[in-house]
Amino acid sequence: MTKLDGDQVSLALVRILERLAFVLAEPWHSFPDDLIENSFGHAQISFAADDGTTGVDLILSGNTGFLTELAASILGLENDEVDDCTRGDALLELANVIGGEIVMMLGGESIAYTLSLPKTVDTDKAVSGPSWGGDVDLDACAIQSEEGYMHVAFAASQELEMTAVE
Amino acid sequence: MDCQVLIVEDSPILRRVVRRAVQLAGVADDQIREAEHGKDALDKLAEAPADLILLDLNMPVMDGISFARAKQEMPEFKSIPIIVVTTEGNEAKLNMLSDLGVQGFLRKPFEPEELRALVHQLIEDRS
Repeated sequence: MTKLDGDQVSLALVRILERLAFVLAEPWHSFPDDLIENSFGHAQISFAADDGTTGVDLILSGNTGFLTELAASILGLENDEVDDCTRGDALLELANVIGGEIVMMLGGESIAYTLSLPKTVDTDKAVSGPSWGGDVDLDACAIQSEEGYMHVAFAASQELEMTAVE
Repeated sequence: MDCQVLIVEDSPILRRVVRRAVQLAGVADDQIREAEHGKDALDKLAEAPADLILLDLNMPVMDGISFARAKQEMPEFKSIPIIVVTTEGNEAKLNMLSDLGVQGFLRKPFEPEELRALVHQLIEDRS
């Protein structure tokens, strides 16, 4: 088993984007430090095992180009038909889906987890990063698509390990 | 195709995706209604019944499981079939839903064609 790490999260994101929206993306291994500050918006989602032993908190940040591409692809629109509200909706839904996907990667089929509702957070919160009570591993990853990027920062309790990685 | 469909989903963008898939399954746009959460869905059912419910689980105000339980306690709505569209993948939780009128599951992320086929099959079975 391997710990939840940025490589696994970025690959999960790439898979989801292809399935959810036919958006082709790839992990961005040497991403710059200012992606969060330059993003259009940020969304947070967290989940915890129902027995309280493990949990993960994620903050997703995407730039305008990426979120426009995502929303347009999901809805079958042209890029110039996508407004700010729809970009925000797409970001929240992506947070929801990536949360659910990581739950499954952590054995969610047999271990009961409770997923929070995705919520919008401001840039200050996104820059300060996700948090989880007690000892945590902090990590981050990013992906690039044709039109932009998505950055994911996450904090996971240390006991948490992946059991199923495709 | 005469089939009243109620979409219960808190994400506006997913409601649009699901509506489009239901339309592609042959349901006219004016036969499709939307609710933002379980409580809203119960209110919509009180206004007019539905033949099929597409239900998210993780929603504010009233989640999908609470809605399905409430629906089962109402004799006039108990027989309405539900397709669950969710990020949830826990077998125990999904098995529990089988007793609450759930006849199909689709895990997010899904391709619209998967949902269209599922809705189409359920409508065909019904008729």
